[in-house]
Amino acid sequence: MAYGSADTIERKKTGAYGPTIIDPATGMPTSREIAPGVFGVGQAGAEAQSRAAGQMDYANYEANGFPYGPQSPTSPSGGNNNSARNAIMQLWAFYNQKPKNTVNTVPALRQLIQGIKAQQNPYGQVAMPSLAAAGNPLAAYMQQSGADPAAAQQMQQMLAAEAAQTRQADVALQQQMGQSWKANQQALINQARQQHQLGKQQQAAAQQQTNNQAMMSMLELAIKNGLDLSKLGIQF
Amino acid sequence: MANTALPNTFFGGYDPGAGWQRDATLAQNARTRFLIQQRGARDLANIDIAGAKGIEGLAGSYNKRGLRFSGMQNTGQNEYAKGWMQSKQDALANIYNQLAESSFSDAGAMANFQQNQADFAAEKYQQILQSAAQLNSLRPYLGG
Repeated sequence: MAYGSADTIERKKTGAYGPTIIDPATGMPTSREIAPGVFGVGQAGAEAQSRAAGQMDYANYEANGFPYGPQSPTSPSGGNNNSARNAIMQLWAFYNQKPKNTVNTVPALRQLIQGIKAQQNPYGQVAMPSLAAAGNPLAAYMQQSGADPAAAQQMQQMLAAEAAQTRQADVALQQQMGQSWKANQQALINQARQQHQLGKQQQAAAQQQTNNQAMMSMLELAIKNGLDLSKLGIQF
Repeated sequence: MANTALPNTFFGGYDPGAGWQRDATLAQNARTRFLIQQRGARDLANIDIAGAKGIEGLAGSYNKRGLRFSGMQNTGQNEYAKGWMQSKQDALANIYNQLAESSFSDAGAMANFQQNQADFAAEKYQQILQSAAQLNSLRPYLGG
């Protein structure tokens, strides 16, 4: 949009350009703030010089490109847009601060692990039945009749051995299940700790992302307002 | 019966469906234990009654044939005793197996419930971590 257009004038009238900055040397608004055409033809002296300077700047920018954007810096401190500068400095302060409000999730992790540890091994509480071996129901009768109970006794011993083996196998199964349960509990605890580490990384990533956004905002503000960040003491 | 007490440190919650499932399994197992002991005792008694009746007939038949105190009677008595014992052992093993299975099933129901509880708590913790990360991304609005 060219200087002096109806829109420029309108914006000037309505204050859309923001506060007018007075050049202390000339006592007049700075060239950048003056839209050519606002002052009528024939105004002499400082106004005319200022206007001419502004037109030269503009011509120069049109020829060589805007060094920092549509509005170039006009002061050694890096621009004259105080609002943008303040915003950048606030963002810079935020960018550099050490996070104070990092959420401490350690108590929650501790609670989770305590909860897992508080669980009792259900396989340690299994009420294992006993397996009796059938005895020879004819033992007394056979003794009375003078029969040799060797075959029946052999059978009884075999049944007793089978019962003992069955019981032994089930106790082993119970122990294995109990150990498996313990391993699972430990895996759950490890998983919770890994989850915690991941959460910390997520927090760090969120902080980094926020910092990146702050940096992007600073760069955007600097470019839009023609501010040199290095002159504001900002070095990423 | 397994201990069904809930640890109260799990963010104060658990999946009610999992609790119901655990209780239903425990109740079913308790019923199984009651029935198998009742029926098992009856089965054992029936085996003994049948065995005692049979031995009278067995002795009588050897007497009739003049084989009393013979080697054949001796063998027959041993075989009879072995069969009787085997039947009793089968009945005892049946009782034992069902009792053991119900006990393991109790423990399994508890373990499943505990796993569910731990998963539930881990999910809550995950939500806490996610909220923490979100809060951190809002630091500028929270005063740093």
